[in-house]
Parts: sequence; structure tokens; C-alpha cells
Amino acid sequence: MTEMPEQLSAEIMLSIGQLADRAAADGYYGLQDACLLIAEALGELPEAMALGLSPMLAHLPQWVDDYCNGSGPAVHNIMDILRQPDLSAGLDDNDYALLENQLTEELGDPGSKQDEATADQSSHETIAQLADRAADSGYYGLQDACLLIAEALGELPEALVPELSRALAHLPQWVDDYCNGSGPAVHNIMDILRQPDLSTGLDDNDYALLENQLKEERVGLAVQDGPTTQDIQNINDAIATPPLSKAVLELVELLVMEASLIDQLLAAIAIEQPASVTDGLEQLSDELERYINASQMAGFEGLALICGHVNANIRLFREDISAFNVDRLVLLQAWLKHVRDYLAHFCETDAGLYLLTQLGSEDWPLPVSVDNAATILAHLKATGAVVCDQEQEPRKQLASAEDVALTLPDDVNPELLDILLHELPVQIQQFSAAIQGLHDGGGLADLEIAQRVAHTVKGAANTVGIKGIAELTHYLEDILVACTQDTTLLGNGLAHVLAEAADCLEAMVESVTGSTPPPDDAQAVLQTVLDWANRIEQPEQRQINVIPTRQHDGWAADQAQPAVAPVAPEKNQPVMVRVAAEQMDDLFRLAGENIILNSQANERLRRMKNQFQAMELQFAMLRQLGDELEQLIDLKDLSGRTQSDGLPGLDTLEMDQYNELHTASRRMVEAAFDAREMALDADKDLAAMNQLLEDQQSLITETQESIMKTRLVPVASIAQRLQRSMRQTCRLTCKHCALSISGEHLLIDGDTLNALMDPLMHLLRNAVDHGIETAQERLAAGKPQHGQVTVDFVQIGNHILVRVHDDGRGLDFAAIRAAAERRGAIAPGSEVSEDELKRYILRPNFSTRTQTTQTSGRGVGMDAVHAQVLARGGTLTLQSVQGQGLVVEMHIPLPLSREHALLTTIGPYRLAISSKGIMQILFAGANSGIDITDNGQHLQLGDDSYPATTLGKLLNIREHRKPSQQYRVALLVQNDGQTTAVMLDAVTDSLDIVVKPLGHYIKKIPGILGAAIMGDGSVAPVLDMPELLRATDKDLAGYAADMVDAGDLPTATGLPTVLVVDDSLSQRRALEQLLQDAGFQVTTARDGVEAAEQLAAFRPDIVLTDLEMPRMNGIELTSHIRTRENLNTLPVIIITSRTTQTHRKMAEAAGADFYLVKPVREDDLLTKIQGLIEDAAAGLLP
Amino acid sequence: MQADSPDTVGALTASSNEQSALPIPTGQTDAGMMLGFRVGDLGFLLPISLHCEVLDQLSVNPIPNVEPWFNGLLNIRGNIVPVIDLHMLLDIPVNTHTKRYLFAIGRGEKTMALWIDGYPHMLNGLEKPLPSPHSLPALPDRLRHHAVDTYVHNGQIWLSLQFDLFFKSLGRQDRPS
Repeated sequence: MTEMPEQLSAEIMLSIGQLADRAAADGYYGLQDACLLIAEALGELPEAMALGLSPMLAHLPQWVDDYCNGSGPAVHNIMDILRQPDLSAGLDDNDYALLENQLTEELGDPGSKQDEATADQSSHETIAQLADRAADSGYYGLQDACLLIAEALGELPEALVPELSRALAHLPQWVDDYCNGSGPAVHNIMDILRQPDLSTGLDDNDYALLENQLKEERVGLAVQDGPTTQDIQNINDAIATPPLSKAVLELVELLVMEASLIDQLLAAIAIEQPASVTDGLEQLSDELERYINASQMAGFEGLALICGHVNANIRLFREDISAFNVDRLVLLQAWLKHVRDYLAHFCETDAGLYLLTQLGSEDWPLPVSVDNAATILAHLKATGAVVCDQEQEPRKQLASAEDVALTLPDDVNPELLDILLHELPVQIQQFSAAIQGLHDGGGLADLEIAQRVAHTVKGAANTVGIKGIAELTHYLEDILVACTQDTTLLGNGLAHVLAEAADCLEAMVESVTGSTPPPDDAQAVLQTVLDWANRIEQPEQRQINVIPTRQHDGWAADQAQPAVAPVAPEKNQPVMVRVAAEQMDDLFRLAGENIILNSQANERLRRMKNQFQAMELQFAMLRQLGDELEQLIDLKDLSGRTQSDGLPGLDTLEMDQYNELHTASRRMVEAAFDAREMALDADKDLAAMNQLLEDQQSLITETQESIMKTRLVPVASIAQRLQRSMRQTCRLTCKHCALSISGEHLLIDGDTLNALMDPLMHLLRNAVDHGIETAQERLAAGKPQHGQVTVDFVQIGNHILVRVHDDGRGLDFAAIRAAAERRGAIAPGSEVSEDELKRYILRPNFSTRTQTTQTSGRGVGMDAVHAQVLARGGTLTLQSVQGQGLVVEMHIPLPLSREHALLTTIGPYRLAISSKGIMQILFAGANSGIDITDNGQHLQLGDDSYPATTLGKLLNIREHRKPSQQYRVALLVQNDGQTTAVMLDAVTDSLDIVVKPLGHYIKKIPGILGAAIMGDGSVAPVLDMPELLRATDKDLAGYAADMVDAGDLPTATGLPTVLVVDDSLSQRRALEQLLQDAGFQVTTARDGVEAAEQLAAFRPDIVLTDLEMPRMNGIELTSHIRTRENLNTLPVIIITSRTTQTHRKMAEAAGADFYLVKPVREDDLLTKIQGLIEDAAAGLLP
Repeated sequence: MQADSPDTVGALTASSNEQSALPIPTGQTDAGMMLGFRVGDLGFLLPISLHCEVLDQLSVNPIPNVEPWFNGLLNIRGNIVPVIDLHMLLDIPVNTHTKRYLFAIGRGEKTMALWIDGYPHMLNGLEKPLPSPHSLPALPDRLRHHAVDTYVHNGQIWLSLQFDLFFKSLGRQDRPS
């Protein structure tokens, strides 16, 4: 036997005992006897059997109430319990009859009843209220019924007959039942109206009409009662007090959403059409199977069992379709309503009880048996206990090593982390100063600062996911809040602990920022803080101002237990160093300089080699000349020797005779030989030098790439944002779509990735809103029910290819054509290819939609995406097959250091032409196969003809050419899917260059990528041929102007603007990111004062503010807004982690439209924002 | 070439602690000592804390398809620096008797080079600024928006300019003519 049923049984026993007492107090001794008999019999039952009876017993309080109010069936119901075979009450038939008699008599005893007149009066008023309530809920039939009753009652001359009086006492309950969808409610209400004593003046037809209306409107409203508004609100209300984790919220939300699907299926069933019933029940059965799985996965085992049981009933319905009537449909809808109620309150102790009770109703072909009910109830209770306890556990007693871990989560948002690391040191310093102030006897001001900072840091750390800091600040905040309420707590003991905690927090922050290892004493400090937080919570211990010592507290025990995990090693977190981005840019620039210098040195070396080669030729010639000279001298010597006088006594053959000419020629030959040797040595040195420069080049390149890597971030870092955006869009458009991302491991320059976010978000929203069809359309088209969008990231050389592919309906060329015709871009009836139509979509402000939607179509169109891609120097192409989807490919150049370029000169200009977009280089000549036709307008290459232009024309350079002078080179350049031939005179070199920006002051020149420093130190502008071609195209001239400055890009004008006010940069940024992703324009302010200043200058559509902020808090800001004439209708939402009613009431009093408690569900926030903006626009806000 | 005579401001380079990323300060200075250079009849003032240098033996590399006053680009120690010709921009006649020098203002990528007439001079003891530079009739519109103060020194009018904003405004006008 588990602990849970024992508790349950005890609870029931206790409750029945109280009922008996109450009955005795009211003089209902028969009822007292009945209750005591039940309690006694239950006490003797085994636990399991008692548990089996619990669903029935759960009704006992209600029946006792009914009895006391004089309702007839109560006697029957109570007697039924006593007659349960499982409950051995030990009575025989006579006893039962006696007891029943006594109960009935006491019920009819007028002496023990309330004053009838008062009851009549009150019931009259109540009925009027019931009518109002019915009208508020949209149940106008019910309102009519109530008003009819009230009217008829008003005309009755005297006290009500008892029967009518009893029936009326039940009316509120029946109205409740009606609203909750319980079956017999309509019948019961109609019964009252049909009471002969009540002259309603209706005939049978009227009755039938009213009954029909009651039945129909209940079905209708149950369908309308969608999950997105009220149910989600219910969940929020339920969870507002004990905040649940995002994971649980998402699970519950998922189940609620699935329930709405089932609801839709039910709504689609047309009872009068058997085919609809058959299909509907079949789909319902399938959907329920999925729901069972989802419930099991979410840990809602009890709910899964219930669904299983309902599915068993549906199978019975399917076996006999004719028996499936409106009542059964209403029954299912009522059941679903209970499911939603259960999901909204699953953490409460009696959650699911109504759900289970309804399932026990005889209206089901297969009501839940007592045994099953017991099992299900146990599971329902377990769900509430497990899921809720897990999330809203009471403050823990022992600090674990995990609680102080400073490890960053794997999916950390780098931008938010960066902001956190930036703001943390400042905040912690503030905190420490405030705590020091407290330590030195400071006042409430220090306390408030410390509390506010702890609160802010907690929020920021939670947002980023640094558990250690979030935990410590969380408990510190608890203590500080308690201290602000009772400053006597702040004895030296606590002040000392706070100071210690502040030090620890500082050490933690230092560790996170990478300068030191994590503090050793973090766990101990957290334990002390925890002990204090727990101690303060217990009033009897609050005044004991003693430092809880570790020796006798939990921490020591924790340390002593070997089972507790040791401090988590921070092995996965490499030591980080924060460096100013500017410094990195400098390093990058210097590395670029090195490359340039290296290439200059290489250039010099090349020239030296050439000179040496020339010198070697000269040396060779010199040596040859020397040889020739020597030969000549020798010849001359021989010829002259016969005539000369030799030395006396020696034959001329015996002694060579040399003159100075000989010596000189010999020396010359030797010098030439030496020079050659030296040239060879120098050549070797040059080769070595060449090798060194090559080594240096690879080293420099590596250096630059390493520096580049500091800017690289994985694509995975934006995956979550994309998924989130996708989910939101799906919810807004009520479509089902999955997003898969490939290439997440790819590392891309952070700036490029950030620049890609906006276009990507827009493409995703576009894909879902315009591309993916509804589930019905998809099924009809033979596609899977759920749409699929894929985003692929692929690196191709120096470019990144981002491909967004959806399997939706594809481009609607007819609509594009119609829109283009409307705008006068094409003449009606003219022949326009699909490729040309595709280019129209990319034009500024082109939209095929006549109305804007919440998700896309809000002023930001494909043109903006195109412009953003162009601004990054990229290209965008569209491929679409109608009915099969759209593929958008964006090629974005990566800001790599080097780019391949061709060098050319034209007039006084020396230009580098980036290889971007160049498909082919053609050299003209006799056998080149190139023909320039149409007076230079076209270039013919084989069978292909390309439009032609010259570089001079593109650059507006006047060329002085002879008519016969031909261009020698043609570049085939691809631009927007079209290839153009650009002709020039020569390409002087082809080399790798480093493209640099044109300095801080010159942002962009159309057609020029930047400038490159050449080997000789001169500067050459680098041409971007595709851009140059676009800039001269008259049709696209608007682009050129837009591209000049990123600030001039087509922006989302007309988007709703949100002013986000929060003193925490990371919170501010997180909200900003969420709202921007959802398609809002966002401005931010750091506190109320800054917000007020901004509000003086512009009026946003809505204000989102934090509660606690320096200078002016959220409540003061709200009051300020409400007092300004031009702002008083501005919607304000306060978002805070303060859960107390006091704060909530203050916010309401100040005029806040919503008070949301963190963690706030993103969807919920967006829905509320949208709702408020729409209400404000419709003038519905006060 | 770095100026070397006392007359032409030995310390044309900036104070050593200035950061390259700092924007060019406005023309205001507390010290009362300013650096003056001339373009035609106009005199311009720079705070002495600002890094600037006279350049010699550097050739300007022209760029096609831009406004004529945008002369081209320079390579100053690996930084690409745009060169503007204020004579052309402001329609000031070129004095053929005075030698023109290239004068770079700023540091790192926040540098702009101008053609100036003669060497820059250090100006001491500037009198109080004139009441309103905007009321001066001779000031071209492009300058008027960025002029901070106007001084008279030895009979010459000197203009203290927000060079940073002035250069930025030029950067947006370098589209093809």
C-alpha cells in the first residue's frame, strides 16, 4: 500500500466526520446517522476498497448540501452510498428503510428550514444574477430561461410551494452544469420551466424552441471556446502564483493545444450526416491515441488513462453510429472541457476529480468502474504531486555542488551572454557597495538597492542560464525582501552573511568572466544563505539573530555524505578572455597589413629574380666575350711570334711570351667566371628568400584566419531563435509546420550571421504565411498534413549559401503578374517570362497581398530581404514550382581577408575587379570565336549571345578610342540570373587582394566593394561587377540609392512599436530580440525616467516595463502614463518576478493593463500585446 | 612629411594617449591654443589634441564615377584614407602662388585628408568667438551647418568646425554625379 491512498482515505474519513457534525448542528440527525454509518463502514474497509469508493464519496459533501437545501434526490443518493455492496454498512433492509424514512421526514420538516420568504427573495435575486452571467458567457438561451423563471416567480402571489422551492435551489448548480457541459442540465432547467405552479405562459412549441436553443448554443459555444484565449488564461491564472518551469509550461500548453484539435474535430461532426459522424469518430479515435501518447510523454499518466477510457467509449459509439446523438456529442465536449480545466489546475489537490466524476456518469456507454476510477485517481494525484512538486518545491534545505555551478549551457545565446558579462561586474560592484553600506549600519536605501540588484542579477543569470549566480541571488533576494519588511532582522550576524555572499558573488562573476577559478567556498556560502532564508521564513526563529553555523547545519551533513556529488569541474568551459571588439579589429587590420607587406616583398623578390636572370645572361655573355678575346689574343700571338725576336738561346716553343693584353684578358675571363659563381650563390639566396617569404605568407594567413576565428560562431546559436519564430508563426496562422535546419555545426562570422537573422526570420514567416497551405488544402493536394520548411547552411568557398525551402504552394505567378500590371510595371497582355516575374517580387514595396497580416506582409517584403542580402554583397535567387514549394537561395560573401581580383587600367584609373559574379574571361583574337554584333550591343560566343557593355560605360569614363580599336578582353558577369559581357582593354594581372573599407566616413560607393593596397603601395578601388551592372540598370536604379547606406535600407514602416523598459541590459535585449523576431519595432529605455523622456517625444503602441528599476519604477511609470493626456490610453504591461498580491494590486491601481509574472510564456506575452494593441486601435481601452 | 619648424607646429602628431577609435572632437578647446590651416580665404581651426599630419610624397589614387571633389584614396601606413578637395567642394579659387599640401585629420580608419594651402600654424591668444557664425554671410552652406565658433585673429576669420560631422555629411554625398 502506497502512502498516497492512505492519505486519501484519511482525508475522506475526516471529511465525512465533519459532515456528520454539521448535520447534527443543523438538527438533521438522520443525516448524521447516515454519515457516521458511512464513516464507520469505511474505517473497516481495506484501503484499496475504500479508495475504489472515493469517486462516489467525493460527491457526498455536495449531496449533504443538497439535502440541507431540501433537494429530493439527495436522500436517494446518500442511501445509494450506504447500499454499496463494497461498503458493508451492516444494515438490513428494514434498517435501510427506516433510515431513508427518517431522512425524508427530516427533509420535509418545515421547522428546521430557513425562512421561506427570505429564501424566495434571495432565489429571485440569484436567478436574475444567473441570467446576467449566462448573457456574459454568451448563453442567451439560458439567459432567456432564467429570465422567464424570474419573471414567472415575480408574478407568484405568495410563498413558493416546497417542490418548486427545492428545484429552484438547484438552479445555480444546473446553470453551472450547463456551462460546464454536463448532460442533464438542459433537461433539469426545462423541468423547472414546465412546473405547473410556475405560469411561464409558454406553449409546447415555445418549450421545444427554448430547449433546442439551449442545446444548440451549448454545442456552439463549447466549440467557439478555443484554447488560445480563455484556456491559456486559465492556465496562466493557475500558474501565476507558483511559477512553473518553461518545460512544464510547454508540455501543458502542448496538451491544451492538442485538446483544441480534438475540439475542432468534435465541432466538425454533423450529427444529421452519418458519414460525418463515422469519419469524425474515426479521426477522433486516432487523435485520442496521439493524445494518450502525448499525455504519457508529458508525465500525465492519469490523463492518458482517462483518454484511453474515453477512446473505449468512442469505439462503442462507432459500433452503433445511430446511437450517437447530440447528447453524446455534448458529453464528449463536456469531457474535453473538464480535460482543459484539469490542465489548468493540475497542481491543485482535487484536480481531475470532476473529470473523473463525469466519466462515471451513466450517460457514457461505458462509465468508468470504481476500480478503474481508483487507479486513475491515484495517477492524477501522483501527476499533480510529481510535476508540481518538481517545479514548485519549497525552498531547499541543502545546497548542492550543482547549485553553485558556473557552467554555461550548451545552447547559450552568445549575444545575451556578452551583455551579461558586460553588465554583471557593474551590478555586483553596486551590490557589494550596498551590502557594505548595510554592514556599516546603512539604512533602507542600501537594502533596497541590494535587493533590486539581486533581483536583476537573478533574472539576467536565469535568462542566460548560469545556475550558480541565479541560485545565490535568488535566496539573497528572499532574505533582503524579508529584511525590508522587518529591518530588525539585520543584526550583525546576517549582515556578515550578506557581506560574505557578496564576496562570493563577486568571485563567481570573476570566474564567469574568465579571470579566476570558481570560488571554493561557493557551496558553503550558498548553504549559509539558504539556512538564513529558511530561518527567516519561520516566525518563531526570526528573532533568533544567531549565525547558523555550518557545524550543526545541513552543509556539514552534506559535506559528510560521500553520496553528494563533488563540485562540478568546469572542464567544459575554456578560460575566456574578454577583449574589446575594436582591439580585435585592429589585430585583424594588422594581419591584413602583414599580408600586404608580404605581397610587396614578394613582388620585389620577383623583380630581383628577373634582374638576376638578366644579369646572368650578361655574365654569360661577358664570359663568352672573354673567351673570344683570349682566343683572339692567342691567335695574334702565334701569328706575330715568327717575326718577333725571341729570348736568346730559347726556341719560341720553349717559352711563352705574355704581354699585358694577355694578363688583362685572363683576368677578365676569371672575373666573368667569379661573377657567374657569385650570381649562382645569389640565386640560391634568392631561392631561400623566396622560401622564407612563402613560409611567412602562410604564417600570416594562418594568423589572420586565427583572428577571424574569434569572430566565428556556430550556426546552431541561432537555431533556437529560428525554431521559436517558426512556432510562433504557426500558432498565429493556425498552420502546422516543422522546421529542420542543416549545417548547424558550421562556423560563420558573427556579423554575417547577425545580418542574416532579419532576412531569415522574414523568409520563415513568409514561408508559413504565404507558402504553406492549410492542413485541408495540403491533404487535398496529396501532401503530408504538416508542412515542412528546411533551412540549409552550406559554405562554398568564400561564400555562405543559405537555402530556405518550403513545400508549400510556391509562387503564384498569376498574382505576381496581376500585381505588376496593377502597378503599371508591365503592360496587360504582354509576354513576360516567369524569371522576369520573379524579379518583380524583389522590387521595392512589391506585394501581391492587398491586406497585411500579422505575420508577414507588414511592409517588409521580399524586396527588403533582397536589399539586405545585396547590402552584404550577396545575391538572392528564387526557384519555384507552383504547388510544390519555393526555394530561396542567398549567397552571402564571408568577410574573408582575401579576394581574387583582376587588375586593369582605364584612363587614369587603376582598378581591381573582384572575381565576384565573373563566370568567364574571354580573350578576343582571330580564333577566339567571339563576335561583337549590333554595334557593340551584343557579344556572340558560339551559339550564345550576351548583352554587352564596356567598363568605361559602366564607370562613366569617357574613352578616346579609334573606331578600329577593338576590346581585347570580355568578362561574362552573372547578375540576377542574367549574364552580361563587359568589355575592356586588358587584364594586367590576376592576384589575391585584401579588400579594405573606404574608411569611416565613406560608407559605400555603388559598384565599389572597397579598396586594395597593391604591391607597390598604391591603392586601387575594387569593383563589384554585378552591383555595377545593377546600378546602371534603370529599372533597378532605386536599389542603388537604397544600398548606399545601410540606414537607408527599406525598413519595416508601419510596424507596431513596443517600448521596453528594464534596467537589466540582458533582460531588455532578450525582450527586444523576442519582439523583433515576432515582427515588432522595438525601442528600449533603462528606467522609468528614460522611458518618460522618450514618451515625451514619441508614442509607441504599447509599453512593456519591469517593476523594480532605479529612479522611476514600473508602477510610477504606469501612473505617469495614465496622467498624461496624450498617453493615458497607451497599453502598459508590467513584467516582474514579484508574485505578491500587494504588488499586483499596486500595478492595477496604477492602471497597468496586465501584470505578468516571470517566467512569462512568450506566446502568451505576444498574444496579450497583440490583443492590447488591437483593443487600443479599436478604442476599446478606457 | 612631418612639419619641423616651430612656426609650422612641431607637434602635429597628437598627444600619445589619444585613442584611435575616438571620434574627432568638436572644434572647442579650453586651452585657447588651436591649430589653424587655410583653404583659399577660409581659415579652419583644429584642437591641438587632435591627431593630424602633413603628408608628402604620397600619390592620390583616383576613383572613377564619384563627385569631382572626391579626389581619390591614399595609403597612409596601411589605412585607406579618402582625399577631398575643399576648393572644389566649396568652390574656392585655387591660389597658384601658394603650395598645396595634403593634410590628414584623424587617426586609423577615422582619417580624412584635405588639400590645404601652405603649412598649418599654431594660433595663440584667439579673441572671443564672434556672436553667431550662422549670421556670417560668406560661409558656404555645407560648412554653416557644422560651424561651432568663428574667431578673428590678425584680421583673418577662423572657423572652428565639427569636422567629424562635416566629414560624415560628405560621405553620404559621394554618389555618382
